Amino acid sequence: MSEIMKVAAVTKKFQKQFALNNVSFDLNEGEILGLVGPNGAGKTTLMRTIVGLIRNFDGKIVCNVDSKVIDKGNRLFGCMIETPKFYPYMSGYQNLKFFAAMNGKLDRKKLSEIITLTGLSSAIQKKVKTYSLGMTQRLGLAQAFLGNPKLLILDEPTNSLDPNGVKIIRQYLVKLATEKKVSILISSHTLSEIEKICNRVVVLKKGSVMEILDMNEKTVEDTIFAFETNELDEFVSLLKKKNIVIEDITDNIIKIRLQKENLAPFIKDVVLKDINFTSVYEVRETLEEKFYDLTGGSKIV
Amino acid sequence: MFDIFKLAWLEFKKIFAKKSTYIYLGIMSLTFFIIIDQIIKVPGAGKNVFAVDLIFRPIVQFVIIFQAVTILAEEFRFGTTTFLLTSPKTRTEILLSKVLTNILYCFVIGFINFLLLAYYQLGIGQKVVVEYFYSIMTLYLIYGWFINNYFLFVTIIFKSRATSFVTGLFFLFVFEDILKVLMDKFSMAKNFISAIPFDNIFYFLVNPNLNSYKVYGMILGGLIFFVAAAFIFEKRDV
Repeated sequence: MSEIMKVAAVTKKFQKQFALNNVSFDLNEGEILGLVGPNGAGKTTLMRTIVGLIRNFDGKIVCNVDSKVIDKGNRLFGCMIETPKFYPYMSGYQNLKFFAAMNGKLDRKKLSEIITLTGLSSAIQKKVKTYSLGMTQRLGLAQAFLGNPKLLILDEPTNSLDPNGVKIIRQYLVKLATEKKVSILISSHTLSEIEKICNRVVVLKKGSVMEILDMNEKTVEDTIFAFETNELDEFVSLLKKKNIVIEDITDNIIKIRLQKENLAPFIKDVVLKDINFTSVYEVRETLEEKFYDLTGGSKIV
Repeated sequence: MFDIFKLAWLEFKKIFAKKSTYIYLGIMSLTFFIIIDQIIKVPGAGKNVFAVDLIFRPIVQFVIIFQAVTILAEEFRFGTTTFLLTSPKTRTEILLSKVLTNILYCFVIGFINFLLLAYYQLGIGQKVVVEYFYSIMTLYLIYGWFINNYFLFVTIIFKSRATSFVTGLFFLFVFEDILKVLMDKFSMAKNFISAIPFDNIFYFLVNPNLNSYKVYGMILGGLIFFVAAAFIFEKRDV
């Protein structure tokens, strides 16, 4: 995958406070990169800096897009930062037409497709001042998708959307990334959504990158397995004999660290020792758990 | 370059997508037609064929100034700067298109001015002089170029429509008074001083006293304010 955007040591200070502190990461072609962090971590500031709304910062942001791709009607990036705002005295369609024309070319067929995708067909001719928050959000997404962008910057895109809307947008983003090789930077507080679609996740806290998590990473290291058993003493005794690391014991559930290929022989040993257990399953650390580990809770920073 | 005119046309259509634009212009025009109807009936009205300008222009300049401030201030007010400034157009192109849009708006006002003049002339039995059309439009072009760039500059600094309107007007008064003092003191350089666009700015449309100094002064003044506005806008965090 070729690199489409590089954020290098970006630092932004507001008076004496660092909103962004030496933030670096890259975004590859066709990749969906998540951006998570507590409130006030700098996610929106970072996105505003990337799209050029914030001009005074240290560091570099470089976009490497083949110049052949950017021609009339196409644009480098589409974005939706915070709650999208439109001209309230114009209809949704008029607003989209205006912004589409600003991008150089009005493709009515594409516009119609985007309107259908975002579920606005019945409301698109109404004035934006009559729209609900969810409808405005959908219009914002429609605006972001205009002009066949190579790069999408979306700040909490599924905010205020109903579950069906969330699913449709999620599927469309994945389709854009896999089929059209569009690179997407997406922030959200809904970690389950981020987990479902992102290839990697940047965790921000107090303007700094805590970690970049690879959601596709398959580790050859030990996996955590959980056994549910009423014979804890016997189980622990066996584990100690075999020098197996105990991660956690809570109620009747004991979590151990073991390599996957050693699971079957271990279960055999447990059975031979006549130790009963009611279930065994692999424990995956969710993004939510990793998030809390890295950010230490949900305080506003 | 052509794109800027296209963008200006889009902005112009946006102005006329607002009901309020039709209401303001409609009420303004209707009011003046009614006033002129009364003036025509006054004996001796034919003595000053430009009476309509004496009534129309001092007031309509505030309509022009209000539009000059609103075109950018409303972007900040509605929050549409995000989509506007993340389009492929540069900030300078966007500003220039707004200035061009407002000049086009000035032409609309100028056209209404011409219609009022023609109505008045017909009312007093005079032939409508079409040549006035070009001089009226030129006047509004020069005035519009300077005033729109000046208020664009002020709006970029203050963002708010009300603050920009009041502050911009205040400094227009102040500069005009300063120039009057300078012209009294340096009578030899009167021509040069009068070329500075703020001289007589509130009576410009009524009594333009256009000479080449004045024309160049207005064009240069407008350009200086546009460059300053673009410089600040390009550098500013939004």
